[in-house]
Order: sequence, then structure tokens, then C-alpha cells
Amino acid sequence: MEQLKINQISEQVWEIPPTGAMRVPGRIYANENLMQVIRDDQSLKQVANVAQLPGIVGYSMAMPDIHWGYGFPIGGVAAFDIKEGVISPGGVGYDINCGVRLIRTNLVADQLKIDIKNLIAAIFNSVPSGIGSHGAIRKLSRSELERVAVQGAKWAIEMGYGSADDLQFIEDRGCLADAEPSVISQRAFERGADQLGTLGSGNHFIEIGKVVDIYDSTTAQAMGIFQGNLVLILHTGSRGFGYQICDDFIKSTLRATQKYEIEIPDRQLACAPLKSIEGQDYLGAMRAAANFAFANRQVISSLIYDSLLKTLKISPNELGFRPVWDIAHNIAKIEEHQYGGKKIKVCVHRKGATRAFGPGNPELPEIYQAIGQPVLIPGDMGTASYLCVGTEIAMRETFGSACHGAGRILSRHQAKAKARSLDLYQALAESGVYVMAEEKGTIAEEMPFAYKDVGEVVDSVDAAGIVRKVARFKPLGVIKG
Amino acid sequence: MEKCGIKIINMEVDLSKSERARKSKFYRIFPHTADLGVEVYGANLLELFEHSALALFDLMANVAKVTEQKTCEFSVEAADIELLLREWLGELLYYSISRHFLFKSCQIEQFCEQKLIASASGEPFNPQKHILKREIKSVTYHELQIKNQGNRWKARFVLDI
Repeated sequence: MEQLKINQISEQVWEIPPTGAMRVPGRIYANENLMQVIRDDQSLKQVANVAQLPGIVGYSMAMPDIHWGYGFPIGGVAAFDIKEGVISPGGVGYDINCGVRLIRTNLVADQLKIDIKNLIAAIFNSVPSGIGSHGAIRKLSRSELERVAVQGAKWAIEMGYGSADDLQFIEDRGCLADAEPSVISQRAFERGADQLGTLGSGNHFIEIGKVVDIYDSTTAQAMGIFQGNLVLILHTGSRGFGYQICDDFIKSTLRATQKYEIEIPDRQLACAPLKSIEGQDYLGAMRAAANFAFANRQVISSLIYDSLLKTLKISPNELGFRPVWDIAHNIAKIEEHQYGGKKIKVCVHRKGATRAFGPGNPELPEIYQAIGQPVLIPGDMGTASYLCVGTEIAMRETFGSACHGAGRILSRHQAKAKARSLDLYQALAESGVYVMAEEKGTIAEEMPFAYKDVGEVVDSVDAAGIVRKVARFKPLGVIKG
Repeated sequence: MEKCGIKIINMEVDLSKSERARKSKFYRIFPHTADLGVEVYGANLLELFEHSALALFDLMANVAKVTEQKTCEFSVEAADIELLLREWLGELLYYSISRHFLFKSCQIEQFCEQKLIASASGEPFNPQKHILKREIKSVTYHELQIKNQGNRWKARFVLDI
């Protein structure tokens, strides 16, 4: 691989100056130590590749959790001008609107009257997980799925999954407008028909955690989080519905790439002009998949709520269960931003990156207006997760974006090889985490040693000023797909 | 190799050969941080396509436990040979996932640079009998490559998992 020139701009910011076909520089947010790990990966080449796409505005950006993905790097952020720019299905990924939901409760983790194992088992039994998991709710017809695709989380609430109050705590109130089910293939509907309300496999999980550190008590309080608090984190996306939509549209945008004579360095970067029919069709289909994912997390959240009430034998008021925030970290959205002293409309691709809007943004609900958007950064299943908030600096520098997790350093295959000699359940139990999984393989793939140090990743974005740390959670129990 | 419609290569691939391929190192995993990189080898293009399918089956489930109860027909077209490989694997994956079906073997019946007609055999997924190894979301286009290395052919593709 040719060596890319990288200049350090500040303690937390690095730049790849434009060379060859790059239209803008690349920018990486990371401290020096993380940057050393990133240099060993092929992801910087991918940052440079994204910088070659037409209509990119500012920089091809990467967060400190960046790692080698397919086409776009994972941990990448790129905004495209809506008149001159493109949209790329590979810049969103197969798991459209893969995201996380943080749920707060009134419970104090250390005062639980039952063993955490029983709680994990109850959730495990009520939420289908694992490879090709299905059957959480009845199989949906095409017309019902079309309603899910248009309404998102609201559909789930109308079906009795959760409460209408939940919507204000979901990005875009759980529904992207202008979803277009008519451009979606029968195959996607087939794959989605029995997968709503299922966790899936890979890195998807449900975690019960405990708040161990509060860095900003006023902000934590506004979100209903307190020291020792029992919280839950849910990580999943649009399941087979989204995977198939991405697959179908990479095929059609590859043809569009040729038709509009766009030069791409890797086929996975297939893209279409935003204003073209191909670009608009993908945008409509992607929004539909995003809405499926919002509905999916809403249904699962409600299944978790029911199993907690039943297992703990307490009232809804005692449980105090509500989402703190539900975020998308694989998505493309049309947003208005201040850039170069003026207001511009761009299509922001966040692939393995989280929206991180600062205080006062009209997109945020009333209760978060003063503090900024909650940003949840889950770590690996044995370490910790962080709750942060978006900032003004993120609005100025990163189109209101931040990192989405710790970021892999070992491939799943390497992680499995390393795990062979270990008793994984024992190793996790020793660090105080009880794990249940449909397949043992996914535990090996997701072990802490496969990831960067989430604390260092979060410290890096906090030091860069694009988020502000609020609280840290330790996992107590995890359900792996 | 010539374009479809001019000359079609007909070739039978016997199952004992598939079995032999399964036991030899006809594919390997190459490290890819987030996904699964697969490198497949074949004596010719046709065998490369067959081995790629067998590699996919092997990465999905414990194929040794799968029996050939049902045969499915596939007809795939694409603009070039690399895209044809992705389409072929994509079709097998889609069928497998949407029908909860596992494949064990395949036979390519007609083959040229832009078109392939083939059959694949296996049985419905049975949780009592089969172990699924991983959820494969898709066959990506990332660094998709087919190369002739003198006396053998090599394909590289990345599976999103």
C-alpha cells in the first residue's frame, strides 16, 4: 500500500493533504496513540478514497474508532452538497440505521432483589437473537411492512409496543420522512417479513449496565441518569430488510456510476448524484429501512420492558423505564449546516458514526435543548460504555458527528483464534459480566481484546471537543446474538 | 473464454471432486478488520466459481452434516466476470437466507464471462442437526478481484458479517 502523507493539525486532529484524485483533505480525530493503531489498518486509504467522490464538502472525516470497512471506512463521516454531490449505499452500509438505544430505569443496580442472571435469561427468552433470528411477532404482509417502512417507531407504538412518549427520545422521532416503499424489491420485503423485533447476530447485543461514573451531574440528571443506576443498552438495526435494500441499490448505483461517468477507486463506493432518479430512489429506500430499524428497536425495547416487569414483579412506576436516546450510526441524512460562513444543505453520510448535535438545535426535544443531544458510545462487552452529549464544536467541525464505539483492532477471525485457548464465559465472569449467547462464536469475536480501548477513544473525542462526557457504565450482563 | 451466445462451455463437475476440494485448502480467510475476507483458488475459472460457492457454504454452516435432498437451479448474469462471481454468490446467499436452506454442493452447467447457469443441492436448515457458523449479511463489491496466476486462478471477495 502506498504511504499516505499525514500531518498533525492539533493534539487530536490529523490531516491527509489532497493528492491524486482527492477533492478535499482527509481529517482524522484521534490522539497520537490511537493514530499509531489506525496507521496499521487500511482505513486511511479508505478516507482518501471517499475524498475523491464528487461534491464532498470540507473533509473526508474519520473518528478515533475508525477501522477498515468495505468501501467507506467504519467510523467515517462525509457530507455531500445536495446539488453537486452524490449518495452512496456503501457509505451507509448493509445494516441501514444500525443504532443503539439507551434505556434508563429507577432501579439501583446493587439493590436488585434478584440475580442479574435471571434478568438476562428473561430477556434472552423474550427477544429472538442469533443468526437469522425471527418470530418475535407474527409474520408481516407486504402492506403491513410498507406501513412500518413509512411510519417507523410510530407503527410499533400503534401496535402496542411502548408508549407515544417514547418518540421524543428517538432521533427524528423514530421516523424519517419521505420513505419510498414502492422502490423496494420483493426480496427485501421477504427478508424483513419475520425479522421485526429480533436482535440478529454479529456485534448486536442487549446489555444491562450500571452507572459507575458521573462526569457532569446536571446533564446526567436532565437525562434521568444517576450514580449506581441500572440502565440498558440495545444495539441492532434493520436486519435482512436493510441488508437486501443495500445489496439491491449497490447494484443499481453501480450502473448509475457508469451512466454519470463518476470515477470511483473501489466498486463498493458506487454512488449516484443526489439529484438523479437513482440517487433519489436509494434515498427513499434507505429511509424505509431506517424506519424499519427504528420500529425494530421500539418493539425489542417493549419486549424487554415486559420481561423486566414480569421478572422483577414491580409496577411500571417503580421500574421507571424510558429511552434516554435512540441513535442511528449507519445512515445518510439531508441536513442544514453552517459551513464557511453560510447555511448549506448537505447529505451527511455517517457510517459507524453518530450524530452529535449541540445544544439549541431545533431537531432536539425540549428537555435536551439546553444540554445537547445524548451520544451513546458503547464499548466492548467486557469493558464500559459512555454517555456523552453533542457540542457546538461538533456542529462547526464535523457536521454534528462523533464516534460510535470503541472500534475493532482484531478481525473477527483473529479474535476467534486468540480466544481458542480461553474459557470465555469464565474470563468475562471474572470481570463481573454475565453473558448469554445464541452462538459461542460471536462471544469470541466480540471479546474486549478485539477492540480499541473505549476509554481512550472517548477521551480523544472529548478532548477534541466534539462531545462532552457525561457518564460511564459498566456491563453487568450481556445478551449476544 | 468467449461471450455468451457465441460459445457456451459445458462442463460436468462431479461431486466426488467437490468433496475432494472441500478437504483440500481450496480457500483461505484473509484478515479484514470488520468483515470476512475470502481468497479462493481453482485450476480454471469454472472451478474457481464452484470453489467460491463451496467456500461460502462452508463459512455459513457445518456442511458435513448437510445432505443433498433438494436441488435448486440458478441463472445469473452480470456485466463482467468479477461481477458475475458476486452475483452468483449473492444469489446463493439470498436463497439460503430467505428460505432457511443450507447448500452442500453445486454444479455449474453453462458458463461464460457474463452468464452462468448452475444448480446447487442441500436441505432445509434443521436446528437439531445443523450448526450455523455466522450471519453473512451480504457479498460486498469491496476489492472484488479475479486473477490468473499462471497455472491457477485466484478470487478475492469480502463478506459483510
